[in-house]
Amino acid sequence: MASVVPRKSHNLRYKTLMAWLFTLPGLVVQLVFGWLPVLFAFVVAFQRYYFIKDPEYVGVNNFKEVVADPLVITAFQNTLWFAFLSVGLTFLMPIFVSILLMEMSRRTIRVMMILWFIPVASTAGIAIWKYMYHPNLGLLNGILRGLHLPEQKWLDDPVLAMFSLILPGIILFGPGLIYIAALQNVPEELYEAAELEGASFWRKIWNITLPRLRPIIAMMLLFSVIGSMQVFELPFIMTGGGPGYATTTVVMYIYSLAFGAYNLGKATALAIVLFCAIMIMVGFQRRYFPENIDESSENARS
Amino acid sequence: MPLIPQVGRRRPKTRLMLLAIAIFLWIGVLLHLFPVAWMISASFKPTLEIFNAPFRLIPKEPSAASYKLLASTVNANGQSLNVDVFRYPLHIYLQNSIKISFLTLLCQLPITAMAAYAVSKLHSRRAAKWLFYFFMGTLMIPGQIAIVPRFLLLSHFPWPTRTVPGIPFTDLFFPSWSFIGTYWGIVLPAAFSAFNFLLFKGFFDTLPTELIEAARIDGASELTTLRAIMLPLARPVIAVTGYFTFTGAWNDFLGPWIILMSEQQKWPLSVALYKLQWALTSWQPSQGAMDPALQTLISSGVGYNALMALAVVESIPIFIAFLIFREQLMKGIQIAGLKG
Amino acid sequence: MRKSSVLLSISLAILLGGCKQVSPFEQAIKAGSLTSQGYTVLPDADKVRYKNVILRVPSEWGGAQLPLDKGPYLSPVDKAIHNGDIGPLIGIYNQALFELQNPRVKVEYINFDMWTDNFRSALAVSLSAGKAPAYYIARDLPQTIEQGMYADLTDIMKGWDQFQNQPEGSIRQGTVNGKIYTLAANELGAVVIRYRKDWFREIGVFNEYGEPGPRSDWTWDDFRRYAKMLTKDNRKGYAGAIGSMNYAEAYGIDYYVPDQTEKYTWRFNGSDPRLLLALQSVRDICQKDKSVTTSVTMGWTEWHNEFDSGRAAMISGFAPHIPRDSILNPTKMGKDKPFRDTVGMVTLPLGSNGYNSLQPITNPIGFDPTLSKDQLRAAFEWCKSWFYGDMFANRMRNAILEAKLKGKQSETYVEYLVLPYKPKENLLDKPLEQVFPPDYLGVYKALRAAHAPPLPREFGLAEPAINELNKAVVALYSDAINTNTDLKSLIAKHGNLINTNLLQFGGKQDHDKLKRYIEARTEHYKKYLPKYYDKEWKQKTTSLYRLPAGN
Repeated sequence: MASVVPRKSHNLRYKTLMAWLFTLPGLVVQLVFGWLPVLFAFVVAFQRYYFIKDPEYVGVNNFKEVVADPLVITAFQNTLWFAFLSVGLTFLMPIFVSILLMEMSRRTIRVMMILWFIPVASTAGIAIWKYMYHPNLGLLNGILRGLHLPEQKWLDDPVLAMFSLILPGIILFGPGLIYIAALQNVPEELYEAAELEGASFWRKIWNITLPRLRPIIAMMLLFSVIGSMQVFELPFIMTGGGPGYATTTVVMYIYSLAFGAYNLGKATALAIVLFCAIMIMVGFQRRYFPENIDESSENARS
Repeated sequence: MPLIPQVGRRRPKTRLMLLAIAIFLWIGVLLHLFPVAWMISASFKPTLEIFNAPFRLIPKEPSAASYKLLASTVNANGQSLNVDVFRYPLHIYLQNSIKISFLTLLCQLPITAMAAYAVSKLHSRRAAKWLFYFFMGTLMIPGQIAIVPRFLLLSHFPWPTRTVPGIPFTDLFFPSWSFIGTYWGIVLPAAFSAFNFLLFKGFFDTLPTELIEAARIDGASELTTLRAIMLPLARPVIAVTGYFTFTGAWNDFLGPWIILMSEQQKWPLSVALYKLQWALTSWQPSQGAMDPALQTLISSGVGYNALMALAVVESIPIFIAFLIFREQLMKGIQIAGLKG
Repeated sequence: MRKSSVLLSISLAILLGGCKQVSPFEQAIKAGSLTSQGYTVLPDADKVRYKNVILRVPSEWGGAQLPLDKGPYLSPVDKAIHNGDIGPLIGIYNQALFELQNPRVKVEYINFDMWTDNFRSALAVSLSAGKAPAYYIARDLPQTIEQGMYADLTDIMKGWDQFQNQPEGSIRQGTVNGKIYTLAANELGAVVIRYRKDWFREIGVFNEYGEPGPRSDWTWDDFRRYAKMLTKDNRKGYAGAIGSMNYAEAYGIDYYVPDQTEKYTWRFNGSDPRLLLALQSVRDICQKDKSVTTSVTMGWTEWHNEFDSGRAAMISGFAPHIPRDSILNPTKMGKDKPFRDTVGMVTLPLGSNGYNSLQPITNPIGFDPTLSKDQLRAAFEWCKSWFYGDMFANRMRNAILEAKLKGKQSETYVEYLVLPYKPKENLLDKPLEQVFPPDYLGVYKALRAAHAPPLPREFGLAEPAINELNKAVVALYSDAINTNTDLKSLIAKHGNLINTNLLQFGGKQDHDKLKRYIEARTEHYKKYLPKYYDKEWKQKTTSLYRLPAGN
């Protein structure tokens, strides 16, 4: 007895030590580059930065400037409009395509998946579309001209510009990797049972597939809302925020405040405002679209 | 497989439906492939054709002039362009992209995998719960809030600010390092990924604890257990995370752009591509300041063909990565089906 | 014994005398005042010690741009020698020459990209790390000067024999509160119109030299008319960002004027009736005439591509580019179309109110403020030598020879045409009149004669960040072109934006400084643009530029 207890505690201590040793590098990186900048944002937002001089505290001045700035309102409007359009027009398609894809034979699925996921580097993809939208040399206007339809100004038209940013996502529809992975986990017996009951194609999707995908859909919806609220590269490369301010999103404005106007404090204050806005939306979504799998399956059962 | 029952597939109505679905899906595939084809086609067009016959898919006189220009930075007149992206030949940017991606891969995967393994298998229940929140919390926080503070942190690491006015002794001199203009400024912040942590942890959770217990009884150290037992099992999930990490680092634009902006010899391809399209489409002379070398760029007739050539070059490596990881990727996705 | 004592005393005397002779030499070394001759006789170790003034030269201006890699050769220098790449070797030669002329100076070439978007933060980082070059482009003026990123050059400039040759615009750009911070680089330029001579012949428009093209005193209305006449099925009269060359510039509309409520220094000039006319005119040109290609997806490079591929008859261009193209790419517009007979250049159109926006600009150069006095002097000497002195002459001499050997026209003619300074020697074999068509020479003649109006910064008045203001103004024009919104509401909307974001300077309006600024402008217009003064400015000083009575 006496010999076992100390050995066990030694073992336990050794295990704990190893556990922390394994965790340490990740812990440090996450602390320094994950959390510290977020916390520090709340310091920067109350400061005014100079390049040669030391920073000074300015109280809530930066937030006052953010509130007074009419461009902030425009940027938020644009961002919300972009998020709405992009989630509304491109969110459902991958789910639908993934479900349909599962009907194909295994070999077809493999071939299609490989062709579908041939990657194009992201900045390269944006450049391709910028070329497509070119008023004279672009393919889209070329097609319109060929069909004797009126040419469009695409990225130059303040109304059309935002649609043009989303259009590639609509045209280039495809399945979602994560949905495919999830669909493979749906037990086939459920469909067979439904088939015996004589359920139609759509009814099966509605009653069996979608409830099963629900947690994944909820999670993806959350990510795509957060993601589209943070959109930067697409408008930055495609339009540079123009024409006028029609595609200036909040993150683009943060960038141009910080690295164009060199107003780091105001940029961070705006980032905090964006942060709060996203957090509110996330809270809202969590309340109305719970992603807890047990809860949803219980709902399905009852 | 499941919506339309296997037994009734011969029925004409069902067959028609399957055909319709197949056509729909193939259209999607073709639409996906078309921009790629268009990019490749445009990159092989001579500049004159870009302007005079812009809508041909197959170039009339295919030429590799754009690639040559990018690779040699010398234009058709024999002038050295020495401006914008053409200050350095293509292989420099390619090397930089590869360096950044592999450095990120080498730093991120071990650190993240070890942390995930420890949280999944080694820590006590309580510690694991708190660590999970600690590691995952940033995934829920919009990253853009940290753009400026991270930039400041990297410019005088490890201090987020040079001095803190109002607090005594903070104006003393402390040693600090600037990571601005170095690869570490990109790699270090990416050395841990919450998303990959989730994938790894999800995988390790599925492994039975008995495996580890057995190894322990055999007297293997924790490191040996991880290396000899866990990692071979984790190969598919490593492939998935590795592929995501690699493409993520390869595609990253904002990070390198902010950190490396004034160090052109260190630019990755994503930044080079942005700068070339900027020179084509956005560059205006600012008041009283004009890069003298831009004249050679302007009069060399650099057009969308060069941009598309750069886009092709940027896409090839991640295409190769895709080909290599293809099988593992398909397998890994099923395993890491994001269950929790 | 005697002999030896004599020898001893002689040798002692020599030694002592030697000591006496050595000491001024040592002193010269200490004081750093050795001549080139004195320097060359130093032993190597002392030479290394003596060179204690480090001059970091940006390789863009004055650097030896050696090949990046050595290839199959022993070294990049070797490669340059065997490749016949003489330019970089002249750079090395110039460096050696300069170091001999200034023995204490050690030149180091460094790469510093002056043209990035984040110029200001990049410069701040290099400055605080002590890695900035000795001189660099002066951008984002006057804010960068106010933040202490440039050294005060007032004394050096005033004592310089070529100070008078500096373009007025360049001096004004770099003057803050009466102190001079910048020097003009080696290219005198301006934004001008590049046009197709053959198409102007088609529409029958000829200039004062009897050649096809607009007269140098053409107006905005002429511009609009010609653009429409030149527009045909597949080509437009003009291609370009219409905001950068527009009515407003031709008529001399300021975007900010003194705040009449005295709360701030400036307010957006939204009430100027000319602004409304400008927007209307630009909107008409794009929507009614349809004679202009303009797009957010196109920049200068693309405009030039439009022009070169024959889809635009006029574009905005930078003045030195056109003569340079005529030398370097004489067959650019086609084998049967010699460049100088196909492409012309003319200054921007004028307003009918007598305003002339033409002002000569150069890239202003500023110096690192952390330089020691010796370093600053060395850097200034380097600039003089590089821009018009010995190094300039060496470069030109080589360019002429190299071009002859390689069977090309020499760029030297352009260098002399656009040089803002008086070079020490003229190396050209024929006068410029035989090289360039009269319209090119005419633009440069006008540029040299033009005067730049005073700027608020010279009087210590704060100015909005010019890039940000330009962006905001471009957005206003873009909305005017691409929408049909009522122009007045557009002006109100964008004016509000500009006022809150760009013109909200703290502190009270400085009445005295403002008054001196307006008076200086009045003087300027009276002297150089009397027609504009009579027609418009006089009236403006009682309305838009009226100084509030208070204070």
